[in-house]
Amino acid sequence: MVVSLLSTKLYIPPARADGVARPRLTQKLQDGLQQPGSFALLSCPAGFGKTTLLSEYASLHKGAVAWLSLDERDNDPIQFWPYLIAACQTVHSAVGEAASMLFQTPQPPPDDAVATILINDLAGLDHNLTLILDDYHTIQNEAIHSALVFLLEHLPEKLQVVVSTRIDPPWPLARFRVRNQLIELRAQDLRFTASEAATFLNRMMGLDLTAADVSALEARTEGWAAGLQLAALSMKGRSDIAGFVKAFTGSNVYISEYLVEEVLKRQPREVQEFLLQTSLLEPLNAELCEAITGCTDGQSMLLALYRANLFVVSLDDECKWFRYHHMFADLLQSRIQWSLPAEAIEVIHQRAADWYGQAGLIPEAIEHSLAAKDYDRVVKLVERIALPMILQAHVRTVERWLKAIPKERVEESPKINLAFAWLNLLRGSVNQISPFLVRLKTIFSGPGASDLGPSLQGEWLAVQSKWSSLQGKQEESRDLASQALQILPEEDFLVRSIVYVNLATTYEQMLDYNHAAEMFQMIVRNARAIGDSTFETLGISGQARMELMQGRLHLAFEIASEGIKRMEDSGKITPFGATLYGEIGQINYFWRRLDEAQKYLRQSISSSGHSGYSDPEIFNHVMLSRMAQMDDDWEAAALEVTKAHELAQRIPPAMIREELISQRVRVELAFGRLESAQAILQPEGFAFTDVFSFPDLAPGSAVTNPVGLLYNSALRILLLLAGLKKDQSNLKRGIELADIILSGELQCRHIPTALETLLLRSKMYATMGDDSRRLKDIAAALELAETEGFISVFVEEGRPIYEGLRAMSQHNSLGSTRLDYIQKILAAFPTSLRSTKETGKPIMSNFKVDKKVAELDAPLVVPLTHREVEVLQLIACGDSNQTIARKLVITVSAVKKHTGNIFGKLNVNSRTQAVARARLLQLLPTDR
Amino acid sequence: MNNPCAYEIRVEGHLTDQWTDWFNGLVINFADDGKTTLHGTLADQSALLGVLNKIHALNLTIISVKRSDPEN
Repeated sequence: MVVSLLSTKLYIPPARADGVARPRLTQKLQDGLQQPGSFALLSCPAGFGKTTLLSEYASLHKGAVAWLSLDERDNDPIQFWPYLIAACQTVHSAVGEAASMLFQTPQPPPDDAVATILINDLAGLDHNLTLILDDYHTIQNEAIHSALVFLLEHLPEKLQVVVSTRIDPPWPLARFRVRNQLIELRAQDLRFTASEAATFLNRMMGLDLTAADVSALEARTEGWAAGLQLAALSMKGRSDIAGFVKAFTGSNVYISEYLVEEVLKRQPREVQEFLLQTSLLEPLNAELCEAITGCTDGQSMLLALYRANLFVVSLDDECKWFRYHHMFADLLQSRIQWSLPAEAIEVIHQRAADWYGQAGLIPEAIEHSLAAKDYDRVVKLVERIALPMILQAHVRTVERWLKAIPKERVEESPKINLAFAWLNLLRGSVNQISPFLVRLKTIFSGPGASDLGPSLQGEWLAVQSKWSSLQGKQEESRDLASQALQILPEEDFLVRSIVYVNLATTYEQMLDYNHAAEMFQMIVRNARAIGDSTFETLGISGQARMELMQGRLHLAFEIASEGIKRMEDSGKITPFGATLYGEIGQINYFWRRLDEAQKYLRQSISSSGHSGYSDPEIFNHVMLSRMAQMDDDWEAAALEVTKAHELAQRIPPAMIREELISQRVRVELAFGRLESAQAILQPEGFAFTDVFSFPDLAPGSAVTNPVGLLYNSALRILLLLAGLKKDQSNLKRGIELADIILSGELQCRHIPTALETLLLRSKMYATMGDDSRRLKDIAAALELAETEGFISVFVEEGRPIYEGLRAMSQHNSLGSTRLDYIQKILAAFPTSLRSTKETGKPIMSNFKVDKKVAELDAPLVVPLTHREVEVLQLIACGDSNQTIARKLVITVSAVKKHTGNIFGKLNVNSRTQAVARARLLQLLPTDR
Repeated sequence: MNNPCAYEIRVEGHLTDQWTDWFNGLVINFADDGKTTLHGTLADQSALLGVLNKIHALNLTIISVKRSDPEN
């Protein structure tokens, strides 16, 4: 069940043909908005004609206009953004398409991201778009404010924004003013001039006032449009106009009260009652008004009010939906409170709830039932839509409803308690859940429990299963979920889907990937039954992920490709579609089909539609970095991983944190920046001081994909450390650790990370000079990798593995591996490696062999001191020893001593070489 | 600042006491100088801002807002 958006909020109120044209204001808006980067703010109290002016502006404006009328309910990002996107989509249907789908899942996307998405989408527009946000004062939410400020600071060229509000928003207005970005219309500007007032009163309202009367009214109302309008309504058909003007302008009584009184007094009784009763509704249509008031001519009544200018605003071109001017509605509502008893007002709300309920507008029906204090109905309706609403992320709305229900009614309804439980479970607020669990336990173990039926019983088991899994009791959670599935009727798709998702996660955490895959399959089947493409792609990408993690590349490829095909055929790209493309991209990378990999990774980004999840984009940069590094293009590798890292700091990734860490470490090591590499792993619990220390990993424990990536990164650092310091003690510890990791990885069949560990261990043996073990590990890796055709994982490890593979192919020590597979891998290594002349030296001297190629890039064994960096910097500027000595206030011989040390540490013989090498290693502050 | 406090708000114009319910039960007094005083206890600053917003929504001009000493 998708809770739909009320489209009247998106209608542009049509400008009245007989309205007062205000060219001085519309022109000011138009001229101002032509300046790139500027936006307009209309800030003044109610009744100054903000909305009227904006609809006039919209009707005159040549370009496309998107309109959003905000109200109190929009003061929540989950409500606000879908409406804003929907408003843009009235003009350009593609804007924010994927983003809006994201809001239909329980986990809302990060706030900052939404503005970025919109900016990106809108930046790509071919045509101008004017976005009008009316009644922005209803927004107080900080997240919305800051996202809008972000949008205004990065306004795409084609976008014009106009905001109307009664209260200045808490934005940096002063800054916008200074930068000349802000076009402001305030009460002083919107105030009617004497001539506008005359046009309004005499032409639009059909009066015939003298200039003196007009100016008296203008003065008394201070040019306030609503006041003038009320005054005009009070004067219509009156014979003694001069007397009215005199009484009104001479009175001190609050204008609105005085005038509303006058206006109402002049209306027939049934109109008065109609106005008062329907003032409780927004928006209005004829049918609804008839249901409330009992009258039979709702439409002609509304049209009559509209024509008489009785503060009725038309919301669409067909004159179907209307609303009262906000201030007029307020005045009427205050009046109804003192003219009707509370019970009579409740009856009106009852009738409204009836009508909305029958029209299928359940949230509106609930609001009016609450106002009518009809808790029977509230409970009934909330029971019906609480869970689907929660799953669509309307968490706060549901919470408000649940909290409004009196305690004793909550106690007697199992379904309401279940809703409370889901609310807290799904948003993870476990502290608040226990009273509901206690009560549910009482309900479901009480004497009447057996009458509750399988649907409720099953849902209760589902809640308990989710609760157990949050507490880390995986087995218990699994058993409860299985029981729930046995009981739950087939048609309870929603609850069944939740159970399947929960069960899949539980199995995955228990490393039972086969069962997890089975559950993902059930999610797919269930989703297809209700035509829910979001759940369907979630299921398919989950299935593929289970296979991919275990290195079953072909099967994963098949599943994900099939999923993509179904998704593309249906034309519904869901947020999880990005995951599917990413999976195919990764598989292609493993096979070293780099063009294909890049193509799918790009598709992953575009189908996520800048959806707020940063994963696809970060993953793309990580993979591009790996591809560049594999080809020895270190500069590009560094650039891509930096992009990934920067993005991740802005919007943390959901799933691929460790993939990024792993690649950052690889790049740092490639540049010889050992300390930065160590610093990356430090927060993960790895320390590379005198004694290498790492987070506990008991022998025999399982090593999952993310854990494996972190430990492998640590092994990489150890490997380089050992090679540099010729210190083998850490290396021994590294090999011991590799043994533990490897068995953990193999235990849960994490083949991709296991391959990496094997190859790293092989390189460690190479450094130690243990040739037979070195080759044995390569052989083991080949055996694990051959059926699924892994290639890149070998190429990434560079020369030692290349030479190992060469040796194996030449000496025919292949074991069970086919020669053409090895040759395929060898051919994939970069040409620079392959063309280097075979030295024939023992493998032991690997590092020396490398030195010619990588000498300049090799990291420093002993880092430069602060003073040495200072000296080096001056050398880089071309300063002589004497100048350096003077600048640093030290002796010339001290400078020479420093220079000598620098040469030694950098392993160079000249000042030019020193500067070149320092630049390469980014040792100089200016290089960073 | 987040304890109940007595407030006195003065606005331009004459407001009848029918508005008391609309303004969270504040007592409404009309003075001879053509101004109206709303006074009474409000739960906290949020309640105060709510009342001020309502006054603003009716386009009443606010002249002053005073907090009375809680002891008195």
